[in-house]
Amino acid sequence: MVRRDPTATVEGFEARRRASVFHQALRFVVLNLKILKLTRHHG
Amino acid sequence: MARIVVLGAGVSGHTAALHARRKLGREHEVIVVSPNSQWNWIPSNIWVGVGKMTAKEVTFPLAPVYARQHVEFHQAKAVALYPEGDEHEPAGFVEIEYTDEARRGTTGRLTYDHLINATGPRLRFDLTPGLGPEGNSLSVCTSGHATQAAAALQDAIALMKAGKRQTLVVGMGHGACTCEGAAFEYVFNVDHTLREAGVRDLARVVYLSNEHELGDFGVGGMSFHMHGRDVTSEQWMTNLFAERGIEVLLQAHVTEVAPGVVHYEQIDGTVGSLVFDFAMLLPPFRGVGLPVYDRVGADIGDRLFAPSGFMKVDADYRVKPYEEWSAADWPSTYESPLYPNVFGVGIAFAPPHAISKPYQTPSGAPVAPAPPRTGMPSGTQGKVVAQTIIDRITSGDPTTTHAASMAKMGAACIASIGTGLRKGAAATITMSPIVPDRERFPDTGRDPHFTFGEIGLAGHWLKRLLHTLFIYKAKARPGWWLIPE
Repeated sequence: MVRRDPTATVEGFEARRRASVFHQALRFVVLNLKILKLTRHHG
Repeated sequence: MARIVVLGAGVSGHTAALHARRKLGREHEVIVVSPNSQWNWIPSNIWVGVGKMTAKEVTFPLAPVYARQHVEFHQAKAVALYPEGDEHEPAGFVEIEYTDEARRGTTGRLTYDHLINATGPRLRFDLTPGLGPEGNSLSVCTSGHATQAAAALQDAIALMKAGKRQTLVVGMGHGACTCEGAAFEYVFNVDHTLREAGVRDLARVVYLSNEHELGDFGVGGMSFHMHGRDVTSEQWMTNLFAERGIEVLLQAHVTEVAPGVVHYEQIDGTVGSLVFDFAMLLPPFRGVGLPVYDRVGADIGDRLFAPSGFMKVDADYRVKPYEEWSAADWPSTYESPLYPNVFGVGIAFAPPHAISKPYQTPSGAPVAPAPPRTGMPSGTQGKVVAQTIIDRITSGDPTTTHAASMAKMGAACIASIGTGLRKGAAATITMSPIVPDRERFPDTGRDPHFTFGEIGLAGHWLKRLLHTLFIYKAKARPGWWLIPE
């Protein structure tokens, strides 16, 4: 059974995400953009 | 011509020096004073501490970088500050003592027009008996300490491979420690290394912390919206620790680290001991502090520095109960209220108070995570102070200031929980602002658009990329200023 708890990590979301390198690559791009946006945001 | 003296070459001081040098003409001098000959990308020390990187991969010599950038470098420590000069010298100056082989012990004097105190932390292992590499526990605060920790971890793994069970304790060596994030990263990297070595079933791994709950990280924890639900960092971290089988001991002040035994006290009065084979416990930080003298030689150190050794800047230092703490208490220009040409940045400035709610044990020991001000906020503060000084020099207006309050700026923390191109993972956490502001964001104190968390392999790739990028930036390679702080 797939756990739907968003705080479930290793056995939950992380495991499912890890199944797809493509998905990780996508997340990598998204994380970079989010952090870049954060560095340009000062309150 | 103006002269800027920067004390310290860590993230904030090095950033300030490079930005000032880049923007100011050669007629102005930028001088860096640091007792260390090497620059250390400290966030990667946790990988050195598990043997995934060498000390050489996280450090590089400062002198060639400064020579190339036309920054004057003195490998020395500051020993006294005279912000008003003295009877012979009208300008403010700092006395230094050289630490390099050629000039060790000799002293000098550097006058300045603008002074940036970025001296970082003094690692106070001595505040807990037996704590530290010269006592009975390990550290990852420096690349040398981390190398020592990696060797001890390999010894423990060898014993487990021979069938001997081992207890590994990772965490905070005092109730007033900061940098819980580093201990968090290290405990998960130890767990990851033990799994790779195939000996995890023979290890008891314990995380011992002064945090009131998991996920506090010295910033009072976080809340964010994730996959349609509101989630707290405590829920998130509790699951992660449970899934990796790491035991947790919270709300603790370590009273002593005896050989093979750590003694602690918790806020509910519990007094306990934990027998260990391997212990990496971080020390509390204090400011470097300096003797400070006025023009006639009177000691005014207590006016410039807090008792903790951190420098007082434009914060509200009035003592208030936790309920009255405000985002407005936090400094924004990092300028000394006594001397407007003196600044304190990074770990060197005195925070007005903690961010997490402070507690104490029944015997009065503090169990109060100190506010983290490393990494991204340190770099931002260094850059902002450099901008202030650059503008004051170029415009001639001594009142110009740039601001970057931790109650307004955001921060990202990429916390490694294991390495490897395919098997690595990291918890990517961002928050804005770092200091919660309940007036602007009544629900959680933080902007939900800029506060989020995610665990996965992508985070590891990001952390590994940042390692390369920040070392590139610190080496002042072409286009370094395009990389954000």
